[in-house]
Amino acid sequence: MKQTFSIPDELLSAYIDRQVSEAELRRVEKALLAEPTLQQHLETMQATVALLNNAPTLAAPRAFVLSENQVLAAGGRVKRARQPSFWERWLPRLMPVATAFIAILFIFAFVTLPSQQVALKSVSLGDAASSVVTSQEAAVIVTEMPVATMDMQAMEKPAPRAVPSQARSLEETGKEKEAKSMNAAPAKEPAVMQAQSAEEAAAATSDEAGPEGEKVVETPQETASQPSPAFTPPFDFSLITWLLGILLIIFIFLTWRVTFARSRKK
Amino acid sequence: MTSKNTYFKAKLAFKHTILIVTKPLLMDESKLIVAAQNGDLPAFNQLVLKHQTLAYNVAYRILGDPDLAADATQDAFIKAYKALGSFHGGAFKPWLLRIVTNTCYDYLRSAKRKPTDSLDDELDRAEYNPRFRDKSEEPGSYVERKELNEVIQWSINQLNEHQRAVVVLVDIHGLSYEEASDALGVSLGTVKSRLSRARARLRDILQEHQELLPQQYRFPNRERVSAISQ
Repeated sequence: MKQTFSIPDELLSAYIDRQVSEAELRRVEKALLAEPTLQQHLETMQATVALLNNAPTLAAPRAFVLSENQVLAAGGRVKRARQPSFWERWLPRLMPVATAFIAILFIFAFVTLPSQQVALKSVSLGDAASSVVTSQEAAVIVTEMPVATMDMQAMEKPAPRAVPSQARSLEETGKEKEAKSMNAAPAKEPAVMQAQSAEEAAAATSDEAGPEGEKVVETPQETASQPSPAFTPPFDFSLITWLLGILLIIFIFLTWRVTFARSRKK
Repeated sequence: MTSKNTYFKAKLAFKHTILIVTKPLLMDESKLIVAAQNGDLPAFNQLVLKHQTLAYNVAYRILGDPDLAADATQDAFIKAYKALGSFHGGAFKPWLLRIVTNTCYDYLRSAKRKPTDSLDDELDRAEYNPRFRDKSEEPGSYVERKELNEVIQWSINQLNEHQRAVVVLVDIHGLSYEEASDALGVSLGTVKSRLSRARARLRDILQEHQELLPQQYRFPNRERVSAISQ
């Protein structure tokens, strides 16, 4: 026969969880003191709750994460990730390749372009190059000299004779222009000597020329004021090397931005 | 120069990897819910990973069958994902458990499973379940825990579905009355009454079969009770 207590099971259950009011609490505690069987009844219920509290927890047999197919099959919607554009996909791959290509070009240009070669040659040739300086070089230097020097009377006659040979020799040695310019300083002394010899020659021939001397005098002055096309500075190949170097730096920076900086943002 | 550059790149790559790995873990639940509501399935799957053990255990205790519980849990998560639009803040756990318990009710009704007649039949069907096994656990302890689990589950199976749900949520998984009320969609008073009836029923069942319980879980001496009552 089932026993009946002054406190119903519902209140006793709530009392175990302390989900009772102050009045209910006092009522239950008073009844527990008065009824030993109620105390026993409470203990069995507490034991039941303790047993349930200690029920083992099972590990999930698998991950219950959802796939897109599962959701779509169930009529759900899935926000698809935005497809990256063509450049977003390919730029991070192309940039390192382009940078590598420019780096190779830069190295190639640095090693092989004529300006560097000439510079290297000129360094290796050394004094030999300066000794090969010809009379036209002397004339070149003379043309580059101040006008005061050009007004020298001795330069009036021999100069026109020197011009054709000068043009020829410049054509032959056009590629070695930089070497000449680099060796201009040591070459100046022989050039001045040449100029002096030309001065002497002019003095010797001035008597023979007689009245025609005035005609001849104007020619070297014109030549000096209008430099021959051979004297115009050709394209400086070292500029390409510089440009490639700058381009390489820019591409390295862009590659870093496109690959690492962008991935950090994400 | 090259080694410095490589070091710099490696450092960046390492930071980037750490960020990718930890970012989802650092996102709090509310942000994940908002993202999931906008159709972000990976964000919802983070929530799934967080709550799947609880959901599965609730389903297992209500249904009493591990395979059925796994199916019910999966269905519940799909329903939860579809119903996320109706979640307007508040506690996510009770909301999810409401879906899980309702799914379990559906399974119980559709399966029309017959209640087990005898504990022996239930125990005979019980097989070795590796999910109960803790690798650091002694074999004796494992057997004891397995037996305890079987007795508890058999006892719960004797309850009706509403009593099962409330006792599983409050007594096994430690939800408060308010949380259980939210999870079951019933009033606080209903939770209290269902819980008291479920506990009383379980107490009676377990008192009858307490020889099956481990020593520390056996009830206070009945002789003492009867002596006191006389």
